[in-house]
Amino acid sequence: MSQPPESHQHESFLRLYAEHEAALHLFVRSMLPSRVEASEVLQDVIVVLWQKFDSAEDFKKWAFGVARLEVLKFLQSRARDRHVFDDALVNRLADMAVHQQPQHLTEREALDHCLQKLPQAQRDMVLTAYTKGIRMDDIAAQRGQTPMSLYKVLHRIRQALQECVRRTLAQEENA
Amino acid sequence: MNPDWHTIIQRHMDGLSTDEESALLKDALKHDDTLARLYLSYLNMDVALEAQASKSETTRSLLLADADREPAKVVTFPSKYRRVIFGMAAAAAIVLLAATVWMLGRPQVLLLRGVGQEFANASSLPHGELIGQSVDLKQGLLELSFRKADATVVIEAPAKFRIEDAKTLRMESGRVTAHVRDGKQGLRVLTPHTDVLDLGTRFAVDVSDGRRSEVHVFEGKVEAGATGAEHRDLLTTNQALRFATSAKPEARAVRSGTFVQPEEMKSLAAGVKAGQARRALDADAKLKQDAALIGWVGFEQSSGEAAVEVHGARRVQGRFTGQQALEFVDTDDHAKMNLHATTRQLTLMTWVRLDRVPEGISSLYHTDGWNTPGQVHWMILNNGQMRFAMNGAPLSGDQGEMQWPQSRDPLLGKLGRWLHLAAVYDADTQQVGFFTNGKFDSSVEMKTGLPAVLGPAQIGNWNVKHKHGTEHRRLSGRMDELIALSRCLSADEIRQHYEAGNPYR
Repeated sequence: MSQPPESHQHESFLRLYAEHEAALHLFVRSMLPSRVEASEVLQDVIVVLWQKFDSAEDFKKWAFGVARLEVLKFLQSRARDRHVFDDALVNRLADMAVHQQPQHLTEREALDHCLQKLPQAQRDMVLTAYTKGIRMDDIAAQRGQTPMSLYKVLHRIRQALQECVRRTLAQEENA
Repeated sequence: MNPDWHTIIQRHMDGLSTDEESALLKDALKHDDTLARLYLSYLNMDVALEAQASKSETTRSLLLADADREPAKVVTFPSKYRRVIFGMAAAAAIVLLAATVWMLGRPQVLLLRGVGQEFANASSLPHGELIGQSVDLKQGLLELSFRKADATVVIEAPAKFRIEDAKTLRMESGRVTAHVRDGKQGLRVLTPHTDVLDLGTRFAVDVSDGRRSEVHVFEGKVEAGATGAEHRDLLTTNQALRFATSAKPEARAVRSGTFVQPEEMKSLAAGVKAGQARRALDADAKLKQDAALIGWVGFEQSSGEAAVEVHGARRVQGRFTGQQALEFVDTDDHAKMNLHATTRQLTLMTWVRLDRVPEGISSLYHTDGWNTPGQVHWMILNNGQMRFAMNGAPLSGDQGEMQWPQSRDPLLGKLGRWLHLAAVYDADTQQVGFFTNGKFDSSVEMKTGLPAVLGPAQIGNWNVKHKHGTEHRRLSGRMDELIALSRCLSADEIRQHYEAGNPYR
């Protein structure tokens, strides 16, 4: 897949990208814990895919391969940061993310359900925290809290959601 | 006691984990499958929540958001926590590209990336097909994809241009650098003075001076002719032509270094998002308070700067949007200045992006003439070595072919992008040290320790009459900043100044 997309292949690219976008996002994220960094790398991944796409054959495998290389390239530039995982661990997590994909799709469905079960105030808070362009310290200032105390609240809500997802899936299995 | 993995994972995701927590998590993830599954499960939830939150926002952001104009936002927590960068612009950028793909079907020409862009009469470019769009770019850089021509172009402000069709860009003013992967399709660039057809190459067109257009070929082939003329020239690698109104084209030296290349865009965009422009300003502000400051020239025409008198050189975009650099093109382009100082310790620092000059010397800072003991000439030789020469202070002992203090590693491979250079002179130790991009290169011992005399001087063209004619030393490229201090900055201080002012990430 070394040639740029020709006109007649464009729709094919759109369809394939749409089909795999969510999985690709999670795949990149599995290697990069930071939301911002993952988005930056994903941007580069899409540009590469867009420029080099020429065949629908095994798109997912190719796209994931491109994504893995882009992430590793990015991590090389950050190698001195002690918070960054080494290549072996990144590859291990990426492999597990591919393997776990069906499970993650199920978890997402359960998460929708769990989010609805959250008290309104908590749901609003968590979705606000994830809204583009909103800064945690701005939210904290509005609520009269410190950013760190707000993060603690967010951590509790996410842990509750995680537990809810686990229980929901366990019940489905038992049923 | 078992670690609280739920908390540690989330703190790591949010960029809040301490070094110890990160190390603990890293080690455990290597062999603990259950923990790795929990970790991935949290990341999956994070991605899903992000998608949920953006559902109601998506349509609006697809149509309205201007991803790269939004500055990165930085929240600083106490030192034991990491700096958390909320660069939501990046997230928006991906949405934008995907949106373009989705909503608008088959764009032939689209925006790939922007760096600090500002427009004269719009808040942003349309996110989608750009054919038919007229753009007045006041500041910043744009990277566009011409899909049908298989070309990526970078346009530098100030620029007025119009995308005529899938393969034609009309530049009324500004600069464009193009990388065309396959010349079979032919990207065409029109200017008021010339009509350029690419035949598979890397090239640039400069219309930043309204009186003329220049075509520079870095690799491959380009066909160019004066507007309306039948005759067309074929330009190949390392050739350049200047087209002016009612005149035949004039051959020029190719200027490879002054045009921003597509390969730079990613790291320049990352630099903007990481807040490098602010860090650079902060570092400059700190240095301006230094009691040893002799002169600081930022070419911004702002208060506090040493006065410079510009001859021929033009003010163009500097390392960061909204900041200026001085560009030297023709042989006699120069800027005159006088630092009025005599000092036993001296540090000179500058940010430049230079063209490769195959012959001759690139003049960074030259005091007038060459007849006063202690006067200083700072330059780059054609082999890429930096030289700091002081009148009356030759080298100590036999140092081979070297006549004046010179850096060790040649800079040739670093030309064509922003480069930080520094020279540190100490009359007491009789040594000169050289630094490139914040790294120590070498130091050279001199025979005597004269004080440096910094009187009338120039950046750019310096000339001296010999009995066989006039010798010219010129500068071909841009200078963003020149700083002189009457003390020797430490290696750490130079590194810090470089890191704070580096536009790349």
